[in-house]
Amino acid sequence: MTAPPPPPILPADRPPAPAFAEAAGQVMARQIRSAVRGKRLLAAVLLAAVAPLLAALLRDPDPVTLEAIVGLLVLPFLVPLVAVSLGSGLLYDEAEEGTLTFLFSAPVPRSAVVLGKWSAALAAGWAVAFAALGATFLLTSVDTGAIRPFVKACWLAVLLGVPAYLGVFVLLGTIFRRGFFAGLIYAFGFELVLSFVPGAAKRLSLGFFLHSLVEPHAPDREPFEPFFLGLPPDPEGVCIGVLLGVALITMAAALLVAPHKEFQARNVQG
Amino acid sequence: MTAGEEAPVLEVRGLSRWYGPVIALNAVNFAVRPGITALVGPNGAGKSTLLQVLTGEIRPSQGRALVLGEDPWNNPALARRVGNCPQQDALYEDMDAPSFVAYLMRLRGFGAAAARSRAEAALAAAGLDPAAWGRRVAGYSKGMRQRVRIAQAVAHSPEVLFLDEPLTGLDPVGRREMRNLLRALAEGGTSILVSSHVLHEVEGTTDRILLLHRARLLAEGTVSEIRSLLDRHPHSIEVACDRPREMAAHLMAGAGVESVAVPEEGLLVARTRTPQETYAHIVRLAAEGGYAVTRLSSPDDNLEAVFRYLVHG
Repeated sequence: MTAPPPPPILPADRPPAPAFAEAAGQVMARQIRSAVRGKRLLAAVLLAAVAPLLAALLRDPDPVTLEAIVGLLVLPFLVPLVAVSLGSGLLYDEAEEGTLTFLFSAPVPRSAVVLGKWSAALAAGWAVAFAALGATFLLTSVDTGAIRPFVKACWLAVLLGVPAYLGVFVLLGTIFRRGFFAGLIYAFGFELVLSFVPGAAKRLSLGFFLHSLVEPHAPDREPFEPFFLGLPPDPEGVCIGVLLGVALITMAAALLVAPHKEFQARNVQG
Repeated sequence: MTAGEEAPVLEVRGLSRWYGPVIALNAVNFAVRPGITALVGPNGAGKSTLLQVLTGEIRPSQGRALVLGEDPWNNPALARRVGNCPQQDALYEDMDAPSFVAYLMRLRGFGAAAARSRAEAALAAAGLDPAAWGRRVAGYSKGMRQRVRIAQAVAHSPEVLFLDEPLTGLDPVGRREMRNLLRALAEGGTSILVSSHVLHEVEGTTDRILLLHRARLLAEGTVSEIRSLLDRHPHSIEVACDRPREMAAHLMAGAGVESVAVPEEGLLVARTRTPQETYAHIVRLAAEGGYAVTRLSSPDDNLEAVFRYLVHG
């Protein structure tokens, strides 16, 4: 014998829907708990661990080695990879699992759901990227105190690079069911091609602005030479503005797009 | 709408939905008034698509759907008043059942304490053993998971409740409990649209049905109203009696009887297009002819037969 159902609620007594920020916060907290056990975070951690592992294995006191690890591995590859792992499947992954229905059945705007998920992915992305960068600096044999401006620039690049890439990948993942592949094509197709295109077209790449933040502070520019050859780095203020702007605009675009999209699992049976 | 007639809770007009070349719903029209209504049809009939439109998950390609007079698409205000139990066996696997339901209640605006107490009340009503509440739902059986999904749909006492195949995975006792829960909710004022591809599952819960088949609404109304649609279809009547062959000869003389068979000794099966008249004829024969009729029944006297007739003719 089961218990009676919960007592009915009069329309006037029904609690109001949570405020936008409160709903986004609830979704964010849930998403972080879920991400901790998720495959995508594990993949991001494993990818990010390559940089400190390399630093620990090489144990090279030459700053050029550290520059090469950060400049050729962390910024152009690991930051986008971490971002694409965490950001590209926020909605469609959950739609495939079938649990997105519960969130979209709740009286909260879909944009609040996206913002909550975006925020959780950003927190996770920052945690992974900062941990990887910090561990790289800790495990290297390079005297990081002697190259403090470079170290500072690297922190700034990760601080701005993760939300910028994440914004792009969340937007792609909101528009396309296969957001992960769209993200990979963007990061390692479109951006990579741009880096070899002569002239100002390089400015269409986020990688160029990350590169511009770090290169001027590198004690030796040699490791950076293969990338963005021929276009001098943009000023720091411009880079900060562009990366912040991209993060905010792409996030806003994802919030605007999501309410007009249907997110369904592939195998929908009528 | 006549005076005293309740306003429709759900209204669907010219509703179509297609996925590329596949038509999932084709010009569906109906109105549902308060109470329990069953949405019945085989797998692939369009039931889940219809429920997804009504819960605002997807948009119609054409036509419109109204829930409590409002368009459900992208309508958080309406979502406060609606409960949804989807068909897909999905839960947040890392959570325990009360935390899962309470989380969704928090998203519905309930405070932490109210969310928790409503979650526990709903889980108890859905029949989930409290001994399992502390375990993660990943370790639950299919039936237990179904109870959790139902609990999250009813915990906020919705005015309208959509249940997509809610009895799937439940054992016979669980099914009975769930039917009782649906009745209790309906008595409390909740309007319920429950889908099923197994007709007898919903037959005891409501007599108001919507029959969906191949994206079209095949029939709508009470079982008896739908039965009236069957006049053009033969209806089987089984009579267990002594002297069945003699009775068969009398029955064949009656109007509307198409055929009579005696499949085994002591049993007669008549196929008729006028079942009420044939029933009356049999009763008259039994009284006047002195037949010992021990059983008079119709294998068609259930939703399954109605559905079979309407689908297959």
